Amino acid sequence: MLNRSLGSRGGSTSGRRAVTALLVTFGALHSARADVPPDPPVTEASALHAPASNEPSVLASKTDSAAGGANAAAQPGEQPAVLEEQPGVLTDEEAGLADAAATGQLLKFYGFGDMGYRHFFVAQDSPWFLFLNRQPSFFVGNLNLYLDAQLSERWRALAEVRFTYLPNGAPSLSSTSPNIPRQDADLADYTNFSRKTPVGGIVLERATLEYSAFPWLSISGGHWLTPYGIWNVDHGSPVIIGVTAPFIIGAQLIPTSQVGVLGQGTTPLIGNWELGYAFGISNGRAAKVPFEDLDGNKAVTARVAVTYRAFGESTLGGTFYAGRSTQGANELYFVDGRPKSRLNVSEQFDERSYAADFKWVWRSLHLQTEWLLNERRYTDSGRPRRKTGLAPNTHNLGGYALVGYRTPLFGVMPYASFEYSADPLLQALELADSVTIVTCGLNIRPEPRVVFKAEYSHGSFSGGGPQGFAGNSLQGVDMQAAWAF
Amino acid sequence: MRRQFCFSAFLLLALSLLAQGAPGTAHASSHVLLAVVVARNSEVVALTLPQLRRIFTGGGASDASGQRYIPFNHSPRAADRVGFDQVVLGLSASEVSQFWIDRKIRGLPGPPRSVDSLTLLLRLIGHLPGAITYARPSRMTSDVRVVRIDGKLPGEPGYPLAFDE
Repeated sequence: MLNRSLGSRGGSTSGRRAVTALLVTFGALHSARADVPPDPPVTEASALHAPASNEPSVLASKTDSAAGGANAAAQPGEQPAVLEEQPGVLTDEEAGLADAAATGQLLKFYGFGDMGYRHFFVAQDSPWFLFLNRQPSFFVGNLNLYLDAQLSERWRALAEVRFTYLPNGAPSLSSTSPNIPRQDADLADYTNFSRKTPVGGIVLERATLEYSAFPWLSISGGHWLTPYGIWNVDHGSPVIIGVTAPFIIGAQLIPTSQVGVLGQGTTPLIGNWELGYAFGISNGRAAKVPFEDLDGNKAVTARVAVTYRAFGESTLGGTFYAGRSTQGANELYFVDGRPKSRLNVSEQFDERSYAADFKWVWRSLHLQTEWLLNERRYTDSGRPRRKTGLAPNTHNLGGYALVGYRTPLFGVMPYASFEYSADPLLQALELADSVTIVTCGLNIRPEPRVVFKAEYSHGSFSGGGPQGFAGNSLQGVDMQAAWAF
Repeated sequence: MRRQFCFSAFLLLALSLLAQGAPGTAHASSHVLLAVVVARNSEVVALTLPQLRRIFTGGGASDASGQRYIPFNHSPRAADRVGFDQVVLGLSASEVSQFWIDRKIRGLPGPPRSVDSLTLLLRLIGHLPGAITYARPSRMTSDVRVVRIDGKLPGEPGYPLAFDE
């Protein structure tokens, strides 16, 4: 009866309490570690009809009578009735341990951080130093905190926030004057005699409510990382191999994150094959106004990937993104003395992006590559003006290939990468059209939670306006210590 | 300068290959079989190794009746856990730790819950619908039933869940 009632998918409170009580009873044995004797020869009979345990049963009959309609997932924090009937059996802490074993913690905090050191080997008067550090510098790059709550068996809430020094000290990218000012967020601190205190900010990387509808499909709503390719999903500094994301990822030919609804999942195919997929509808690019769709034209993201697990693990994926991006300001105007409003569009374009990615990890060898193509067509009312005239429609292509080999020597992985990337931001500033970067470096993971990286990169630029920076290459060393907590 | 760099890279690669190829220290070892077990009344009778890997790596899976699998692990440093991870996931103890850390940073759910006591674990498996774990065949109880892996039971030729302790 106990087994049958536990198998029920009903969710009565008394049932959940009974299961909790059952688990609490298990907790009474928590200190009794099993001694594992050597295995005797195994036959089918002994495997299928194993002898019953000689240990005394602690499944109290009291739990049996109360187990009707139990849900398999007991609720954390719920106090089992049996505790009251068997005083002294378990402490509160032990009861909590038993619950945790069956349901996990309700809310988990974890994350990652990194600190870096960057030294460019170029002339001190390089124009790139308008935006990059002129002198060798230390910095804390990411400090990301995850808040992960398993609300019930099928509902999960996940938020990731990044703590940053920004906007304090950031150079302006919209200045039209030769002098590039920095953001000043030094504010008078009322707790310290109004002495100046630099104030940083928080970046909302993602915040989703996820429903696991089926083992092969989960549906998320909120602010999610676009599930394209490899790097954008990995994105955490302890996970990614290089120090910084490839230029093509930062160029956002597909938006890094979106606000909307996303369905995704995986399902096994025959043998060692697995199919992954994702489909999302969103407001579109979320960088400027993440909480409002300025054009009412919803963006679509679709992804399909196939994974093969033999000779290591290899994944081949493709992603499609289509949407309209709009920037503008609201304006109040009057018709016959009656107030009206409208959106004055400053920039608007329709875009389609196609991405392909391939990753192969075989023993200590790691190979990954991603390539993206973005087509951008401005609307008649949304074509912006550049220094050299109206902005043209664009086809931007870029990608990277990275190969690394994890040696057994202290977990050292030498790696090398090649990148080619068109960059809409550099194009908008008319500094350059595209960049080619060659990188080689070392990734050392002495502990699963600690990673050290050092890399040398050389970047050369092409295109740009007459006063662009294309003739000025960049080379330098990046070092990073990253950790997961 | 470039020649020096190339030489250093070659030396590093050669040393790593040598270290990988070095024979291990000889020591006495015993052959351990692990049985995959579910509740005695479960409808699951057989799984493939890829299915087992998917269940224990959070891939999401359910049996023929639609019941979701709830995998349970032994504690991280337990010999059977290390052996299971090596055989089924193809990962060493430190690689498993790295695997789950990386997965969480990607925003995916964490590892299966682990239970220190095998006695508790088998009782849990026997009474929690969908629960699944592994144990040595000698530790089976009347609550649980062994599942065929790739069509084989522990001890049959070609049974995949075996390792040297």
